[in-house]
Amino acid sequence: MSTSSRSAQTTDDAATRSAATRSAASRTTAAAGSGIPRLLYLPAALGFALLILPLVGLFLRADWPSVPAAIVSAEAQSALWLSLQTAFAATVLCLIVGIPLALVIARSGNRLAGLLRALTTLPLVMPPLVGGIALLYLLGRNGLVGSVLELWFGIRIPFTTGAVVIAQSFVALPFLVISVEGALRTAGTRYEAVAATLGAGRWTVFRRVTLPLIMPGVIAGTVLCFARALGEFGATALFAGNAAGTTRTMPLAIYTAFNGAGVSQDSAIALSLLLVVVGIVILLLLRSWRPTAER
Amino acid sequence: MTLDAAMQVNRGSFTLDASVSVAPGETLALLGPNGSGKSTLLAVIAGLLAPERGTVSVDGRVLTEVPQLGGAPSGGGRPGGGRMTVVPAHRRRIGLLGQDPLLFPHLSALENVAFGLRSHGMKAAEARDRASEWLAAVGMSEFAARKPAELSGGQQQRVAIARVLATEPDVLLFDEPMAALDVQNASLVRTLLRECLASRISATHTGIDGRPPTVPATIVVTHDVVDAMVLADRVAIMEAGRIIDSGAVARVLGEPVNQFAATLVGLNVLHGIVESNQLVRLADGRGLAVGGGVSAVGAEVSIAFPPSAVTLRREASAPSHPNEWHATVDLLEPGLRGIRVTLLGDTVVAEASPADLLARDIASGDRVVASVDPAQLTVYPRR
Repeated sequence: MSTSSRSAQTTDDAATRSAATRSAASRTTAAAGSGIPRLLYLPAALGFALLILPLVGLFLRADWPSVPAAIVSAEAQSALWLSLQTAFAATVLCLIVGIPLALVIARSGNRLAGLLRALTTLPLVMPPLVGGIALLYLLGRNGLVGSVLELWFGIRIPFTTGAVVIAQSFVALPFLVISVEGALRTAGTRYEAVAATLGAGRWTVFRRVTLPLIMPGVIAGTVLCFARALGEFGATALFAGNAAGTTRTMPLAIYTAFNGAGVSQDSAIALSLLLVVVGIVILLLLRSWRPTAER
Repeated sequence: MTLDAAMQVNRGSFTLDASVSVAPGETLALLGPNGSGKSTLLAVIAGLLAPERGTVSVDGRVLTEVPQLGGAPSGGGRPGGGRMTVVPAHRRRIGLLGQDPLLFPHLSALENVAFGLRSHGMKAAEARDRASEWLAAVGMSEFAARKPAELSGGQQQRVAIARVLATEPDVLLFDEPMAALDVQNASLVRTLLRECLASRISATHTGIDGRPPTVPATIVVTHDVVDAMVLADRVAIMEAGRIIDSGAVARVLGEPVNQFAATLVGLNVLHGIVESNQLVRLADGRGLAVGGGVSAVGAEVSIAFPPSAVTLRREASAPSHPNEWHATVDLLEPGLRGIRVTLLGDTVVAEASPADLLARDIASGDRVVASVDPAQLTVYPRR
């Protein structure tokens, strides 16, 4: 076996050597390409520490014997369940309105697209608390739309689970739109033009060409959107309140536990750990699903 | 189906102003360099671009109608008055294949071919069967399950040809379909296209959408003379947005109307007036002896000859023949059949083998005597 492989090696000697040369060459280019100035490693390490050390601190500070009890407590379970439900609903809502919005922006003329993009990303640069106040003044009892809803339909939105979903959508939608719009711009319109000349109408083109082409961007946007919705606090607190069971999501439950009179902060830490773990699990699940969708 | 198109498109300083008409079963080659407006013309026909003014119709079915702005719209009893009509691309039954195959990356070769059939409302199973037949027709059966990324450029273009032919369009538009391929793949694809165009109604060509099979009109846009020779029945030459010549392939390629057309088809062209049945007086006052049998004295004629008909020699002896003149060598470039030699201040181009040029000791900047063989001149009425 070894002799035959060796003889094969001799016959393919030239090929092997050229391949070796090639890989050596590519290694050289890689080394040359990764020539980061050494000084930059310091701020890079600081940045990484800033992101990771607080989480490490959380893990170290946790009173582990009391963690299981805090996690399985009825309050924690209800908050977690509410968080997952509302974040899921908000993500679905964002997908339904966000993909069409991204499509409109991507296919608009440069100036209109710039304006629409700036307005769409406004919630990103706005403190969520401000968003909460704005939502309250729009949809609250005396709000622009809220008063009409209450008067004509008897619908009251603030301080309901629906308000949680709306608040989460408000802060999470820009992430989805930006991601999908980028994918649409990269994909361009050439495939869509070809599909049209093959006889495909607009809906067929959207369903069978545009959507599959931008799927990686849609998935990335969905991940960001869900993560942002899951962690949403400020807008929810102001617009939806902090009622256990209906609007107290995980972030609000953690805040309540942390500030709770007489209650130890240990349960806040335990709940935080739970949220971190849930976030990691969801990221991993979507990450493993992504390559198949991209192929 | 007969295609009739006339259009004007303005793009800044560039204006496309052209009209074409192609009969059923006929293939027209649009020959021109990059930027001459060929692709824009196809985009208007395909419905991807609305012209500033123009009409596109197939067998009388109006697909694009943009009347002149400010013109009297009611004159001539035009249907729909002065209103603009642009039938969207997906309802035109006009197939377009570009230099980039643009196979949908998320679909297999088979699904790509079936896409157009499905879009026309064909049932999935039937579309798959029909697509398989078309893949077989272009020799790609064994790659049916492959994704485009797993195919070579030539293979992708074959699938793209099957995809566009499968929809049985009334008009077929090919936009430089061989331009992105290497020489070998280009000639394979060119041969395949010729076969497809020659046997348009094949066994699989049975009509879709409940329509009877059609004989399409075809336009091939190219900057390569070979494509025009192999694929076309008729050639039109485009220069800066205008069609400057069109007609039978042999005539257009063999008798260029001007310097631009001559350069495109690889010939030299000179213009003059017949002085006797042996001599043509050129515009610059030079006389050129021709093979005889030319048209009436006093007629304006063009004279075409290949660069290889021009020989250069070092200036040892003075020009002794009407077909000899002084020249200075400008540049040596790679040519079609050897080294192309351009002359300073002269439109005439010579071509010779490297050995020949070395033996004659000719290099850039040399003073030379150029001579043209009268037997290799083609004289024809100036257009």
